[in-house]
Amino acid sequence: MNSVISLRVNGQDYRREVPANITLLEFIRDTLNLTGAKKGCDNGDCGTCTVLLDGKPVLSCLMLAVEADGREVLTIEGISRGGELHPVQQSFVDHGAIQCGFCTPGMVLAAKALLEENPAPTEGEVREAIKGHICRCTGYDQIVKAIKDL
Amino acid sequence: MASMIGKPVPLIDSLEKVTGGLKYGSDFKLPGMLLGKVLRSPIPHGRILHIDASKARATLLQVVSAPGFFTAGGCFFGLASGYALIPGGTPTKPGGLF
Repeated sequence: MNSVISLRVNGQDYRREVPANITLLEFIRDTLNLTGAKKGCDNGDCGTCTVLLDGKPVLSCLMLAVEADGREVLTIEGISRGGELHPVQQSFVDHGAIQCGFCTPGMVLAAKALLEENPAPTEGEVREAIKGHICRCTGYDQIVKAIKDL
Repeated sequence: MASMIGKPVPLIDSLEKVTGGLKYGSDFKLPGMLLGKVLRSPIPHGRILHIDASKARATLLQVVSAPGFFTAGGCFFGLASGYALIPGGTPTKPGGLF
């Protein structure tokens, strides 16, 4: 069964017919060809599929595309504009908070959402905000510093 | 070189990684790309006595039963065990490649 959904992704409006059973992640990656959000576990455990839905981080692998009807989605591709990195992205680069980079899009978006709500988080609050994001290179310290120093 | 010593040097691919632009294996989409799926036994150390692939054959271009090796569209697929469904491609005889 297909449904027509209208949503805004990275500032651009889309109206698409989608099968009712595809996830928001599959819609973003396969229909819109935005591959910054990764399919890591496809199970809600790893956090690398994170996107911001109306500003809040969600696991797009656990959400159906039809549930995003009428909502606003921001992916990693949408936060740097006109060649300028978002301050969170710049801080990740400056702190060497990137290794293989697979978890980075989710980490950056989680950090952006945290800082918008809480501009001066404690280390504990930073760790709490990224706890659902698994970095298998285990580079957590630099990531925490990159977020904390903003 | 001397200008780098003692100074932090950004990862050469950090910009691509932090903007989501870097393509990982699963991010590639090529024209005519073949997709394969390996179905494994749900039972550890089980023996495959029979596979009924009739339903799969109705919707897919190729259904290949392994163990063995076969090619599809010039790509190697090595299967230690299990059962593969490959849309498109030409399977060769199991074990015929190496």
